[in-house]
Amino acid sequence: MATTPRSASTERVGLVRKGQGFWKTLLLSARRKPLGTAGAVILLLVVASAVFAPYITPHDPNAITTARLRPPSAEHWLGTDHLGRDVFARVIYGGRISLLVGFLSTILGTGAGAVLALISAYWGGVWDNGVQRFMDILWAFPSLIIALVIVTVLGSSTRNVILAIAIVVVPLAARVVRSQVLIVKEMEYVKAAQALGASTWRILFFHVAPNCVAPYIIVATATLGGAIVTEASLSFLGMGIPPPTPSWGRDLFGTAANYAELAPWIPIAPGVALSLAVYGFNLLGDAVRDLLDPRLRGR
Amino acid sequence: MRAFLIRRLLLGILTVYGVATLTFILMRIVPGDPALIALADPSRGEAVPKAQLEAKRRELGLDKPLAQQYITWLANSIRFNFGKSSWGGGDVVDEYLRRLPLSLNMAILAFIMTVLVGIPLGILSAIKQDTPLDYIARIIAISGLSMPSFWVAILIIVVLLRVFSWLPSLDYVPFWENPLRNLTQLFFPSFAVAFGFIGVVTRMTRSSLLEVLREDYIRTAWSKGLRERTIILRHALRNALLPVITVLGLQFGFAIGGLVVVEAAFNLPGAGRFLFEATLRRDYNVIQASLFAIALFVTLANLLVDVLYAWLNPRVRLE
Repeated sequence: MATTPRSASTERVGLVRKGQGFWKTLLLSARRKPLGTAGAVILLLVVASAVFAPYITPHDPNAITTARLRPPSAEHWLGTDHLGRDVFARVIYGGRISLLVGFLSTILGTGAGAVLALISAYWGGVWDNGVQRFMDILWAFPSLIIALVIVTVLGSSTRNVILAIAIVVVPLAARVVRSQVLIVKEMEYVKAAQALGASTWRILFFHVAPNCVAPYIIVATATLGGAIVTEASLSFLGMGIPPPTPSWGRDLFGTAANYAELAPWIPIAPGVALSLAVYGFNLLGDAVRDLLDPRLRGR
Repeated sequence: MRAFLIRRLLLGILTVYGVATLTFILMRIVPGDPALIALADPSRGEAVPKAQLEAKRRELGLDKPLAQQYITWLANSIRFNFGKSSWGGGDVVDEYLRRLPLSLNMAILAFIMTVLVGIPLGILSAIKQDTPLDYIARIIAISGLSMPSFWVAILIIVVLLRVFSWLPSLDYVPFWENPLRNLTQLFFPSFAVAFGFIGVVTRMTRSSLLEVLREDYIRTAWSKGLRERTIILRHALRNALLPVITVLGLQFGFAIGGLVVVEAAFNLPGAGRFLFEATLRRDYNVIQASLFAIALFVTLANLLVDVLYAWLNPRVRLE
């Protein structure tokens, strides 16, 4: 605490303070949340390498060459696989599909869950009960199995994988947002709005919804890691992203037993990338939760 | 207590029924004619004689109205009749039951590992809060959450092959026939399934114990001069384990997903791989039977947790 002013370290309300420089604030929050910062740094690396993949590696991830099973070298940083494709290129291009599927399915699924919960919890009654029972059924079931069956039925394509994971995510967000709506709708400002004759939609979207944003963000960030794992698991089972798109999960299937002795970099590289990304999302999710939910601080 | 159990039981039956209905709907959304799929691989575009197709449709009951199909499907699933596998042609339930012991065996082993490692690690992490030991336990816990079970399985396979040039055998030996062979075969796959749950249980035990340790009655116990051991194990843990039990029950469903990927990774002939192969072959009877079985297992596990919870927690029991 040598470089930070004393007053800043005792301030507990938020991380940003008026009059403080951007970098100072950043440094301060990094000190206070070392694990969350580590998560953010890891994610920044994963996202940057996925976005700028063509500038990082000259290799085409799908180019089949005769340089098969080469060990890591200056030319191929993580070696090549059984088809002579550059493993490093496949790993960083693989991040693209993982992040795309993770973000899209999380936004779609948690968004649908939140809207559903918002409307059904506010109105209550039979409709709410029906939605709840349906969520219970979805919730009681292993999410990977539901996603697997949905993709089997719809056929495996990137769009269907996103859809399947989104469906699996719905009950999570619905449950969290619902309990918040039940609290908020009894608040005096909602009663006041009702007394003033505001329309139901106005109350829902201008008074109730903004007060459910914090738990929603917590559940959405916590979901991201899980969504990426589900995509990787589906691809690993051969029901996810169809080839030849590089995908961490697919590149892991069947490579362990075949290349463990001959070329261990083939199964290890995508797995490390996958765990790192999920690790980053989990750390960030924890930090966001601590930040937005003061009751859980310090646990 | 009895009313509570009856309500839970009814809710469980409703869940299984709901899953059965959803499966029925899902299987009717499937693009393409099931009779055609049963007779020929549609991707190859083989022509099937019309009479043969009609016969197959009658055999599968597809010529009946949808409502009647639904009732037949429900009646059949209650009697555990799921027809024949479209691959192999064996009775689905027989085939399933043949593969189930391996998966159950793995699930039980994984559960034992989770409890034996996760709870002590969580306790240690809580009573040594903010020491290096706590950080190590937390890092283990969060890596458990970040490493999907199939990736743990792959790491184990790579290490086993490189160090011992050995992999677990592929045919199942029941525990009561040869305990040692059974354990050498299933120890590593079960650990791959358990690893993530160890993380969950460690985190839950830690946070719940930390919370309980701040309670007044714990301060009373300290001021009575009791030993730390007694306070933690007899006073605090009893209350701290309640949410852990709930989490264990909730995680049971996720463990089934873990079984599917780990069995696929290790090539083990269990019920999980049966479902995985069925999805690859679009063997819908097998998928339906598996979903029904999973719904039954998850519901039973949740019921068991509810009963256990009520038994352990007088507040629930006496309500």
